[in-house]
Amino acid sequence: MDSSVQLSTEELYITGLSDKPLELAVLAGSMLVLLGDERTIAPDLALVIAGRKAPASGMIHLGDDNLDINNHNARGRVEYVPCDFACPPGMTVSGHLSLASAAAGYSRKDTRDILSQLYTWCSLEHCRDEEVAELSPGDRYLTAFAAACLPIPDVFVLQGPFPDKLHPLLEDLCQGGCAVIASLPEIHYIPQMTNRIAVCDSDDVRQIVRLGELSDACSILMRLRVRFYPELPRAVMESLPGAKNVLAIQGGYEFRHPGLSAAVTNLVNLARANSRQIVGLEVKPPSNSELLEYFTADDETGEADLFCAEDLDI
Amino acid sequence: MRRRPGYLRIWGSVFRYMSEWALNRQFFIWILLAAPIIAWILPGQTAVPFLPLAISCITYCGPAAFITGWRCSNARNNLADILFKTKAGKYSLIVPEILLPTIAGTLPALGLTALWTAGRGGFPWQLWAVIPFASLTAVSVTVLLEKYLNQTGYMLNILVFMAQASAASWVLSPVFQLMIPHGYVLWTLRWNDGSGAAFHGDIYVFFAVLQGIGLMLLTVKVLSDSGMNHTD
Repeated sequence: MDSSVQLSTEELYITGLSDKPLELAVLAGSMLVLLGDERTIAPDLALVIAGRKAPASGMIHLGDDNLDINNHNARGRVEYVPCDFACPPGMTVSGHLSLASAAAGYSRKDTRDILSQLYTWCSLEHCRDEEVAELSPGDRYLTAFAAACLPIPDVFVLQGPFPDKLHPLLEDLCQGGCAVIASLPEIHYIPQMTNRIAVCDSDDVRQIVRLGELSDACSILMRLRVRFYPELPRAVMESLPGAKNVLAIQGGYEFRHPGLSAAVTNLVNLARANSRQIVGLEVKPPSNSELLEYFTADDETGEADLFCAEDLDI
Repeated sequence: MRRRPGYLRIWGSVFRYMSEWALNRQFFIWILLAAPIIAWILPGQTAVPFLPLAISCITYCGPAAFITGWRCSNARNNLADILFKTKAGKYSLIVPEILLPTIAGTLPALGLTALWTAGRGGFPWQLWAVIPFASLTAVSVTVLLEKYLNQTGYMLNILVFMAQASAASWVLSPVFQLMIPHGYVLWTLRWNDGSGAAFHGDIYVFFAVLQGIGLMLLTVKVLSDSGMNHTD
C-alpha cells in the first residue's frame, strides 16, 4: 500500500469549544470514518475537510507538498459527495454525468468512453436516461459519486449514510491509492474495509480507533433481544450463561452478552431444554453515546497513533 | 496533463436549464410585461411614441425576467455544485448565466429598433453598442439589488425602471438622463430621431459601456461567491 499522506491537519479547531487542536492524517489507500450524527461535529468536520466550510482556525493540507485545501490548485483533488444531492429539474443521469465530465475537461469522445465505464462500474446502466430527481436515494447517491469520480481526485469525502452497493467501489478506490473519508451517523453503516474510526461528540473527535477495536467494543456493548413462544420465565432466562443486565420487554428479554455466536448457541439450547420456540432475535448495536462512554472511560493523555502504523506496515 | 472544460457543452446546458427554470415560473410573463404596461400607463407618456418606449423596456425587463431570483434558486445551486469544483467550471456557469438574459434583452430590442429606424434614416451605430450594454446593465442591476437589498431590491428595481420610463416626458435634465442607466436606449433613440436628448449619441454609448462593464465585474464577483462554499 502507498503510505504517503494524502491529507493532514495543522492546528485545526473545528469549533471554538475544543481544548486542543484536531490532529488527523489520512494515508493514501486508507479509509477513515467520522462516526457521529448531526448533533456531533462529524458532518461539519467532513465539510471542513472537503473545503466546503471554514474551520474555527487552522489549516488542512493536501499531499506531501502541504498544499492548502482552499488553494485553487487543490480544486478537483478533493471531491465531496453530499447525502442530499440534487440536480436541476429534468436533468437525467447521463445529462448530469455529461455536464460533470465537460466540467472535468473530457472531450466528447473521452466522455463517451469514460461514462460507459462509469455506468458499468457504478451499476447505473439501468437508469442512465432517468431523471435524477426520480431515482431511488441509493441510485441518486451513486450518481453523485460517479460524478465525483470524474476529476480523478486524491481524496473522497462522503456524507453518509450511503448504499451498501458503494462499499466495493470504495474498496477499489482505496486500492487505487485514494484516501476516503466518510461521515456516518451509526456504526451499522461502517464498511468492512474501514481502517480507522474517529468517534465524534458535539465538540471534538474523542477517540480514533481501529475497526477491530470498535468491533470488540460492539460485542461487549451490543444488546440482544429475544422473544420466546410460549414466554420463558425470567428466572430461567437469567440462568443463560454469560447474560448480563437482563431486562423484560414485550414478549421476551433484552440482555448483554460478550459473544454473539455463544449467545445464539446458548439461546437455542435454552429454548430446546424448555420446550420453547425462538420467535424473534434481534441484535442491537451500541449507540454512539455508549461507544463514546466506553472509549473515553479511562481516557489517558498520550501520543495519538495518527496512522495506525501497525496496520499499515509502516 | 491539465484538461480544459468543454465550455460550449457547459454553456449549452446552462442555457437550457436556466431557460427551463425561468420559463416555468408563473411570474416570468408578468415581469416581462409589467415594465411596458407601467411605461404605457404612466401619465405623460403620450408625448413619446410607443415603439421607442417598448424597445427601452425590453432591454430592461427581458433580462430581469430571466435573472430575477436565479442566483438563489435550487436549479442554480445544483448547477454550481457540479461546476464550481474547478475555476474554469465556475466561470463557465457565470458567463452563460449573464449572457443568456443579456441576449434575451438585446435581440428583440435590436429587431424592434430595426423596424423603428427603417423609415428614419437608418440604424445608427450607437444603438449596436447601447442596447447590449443596457441589457447587461439590467442584468447586473437586478443581481446586485437582489444580493444587497433582497425584496427591497426588487421594489427599487421597479422604481428605477419607472423613473426612466416616466423620464421620457420630463423636463430635460442632462444629469438626470445620465443617472438612469436603463434610459440610455430611449435617449439614443430620441437623439436619432432629433428630439428630446440632451447629449450626442456617442455620450450615451460611452456611459452605457462604462456602466455595463463596471457593474458586470461586480456581478461576476457576486455570482462567483454564490454557490458552493469555495474561495479563491
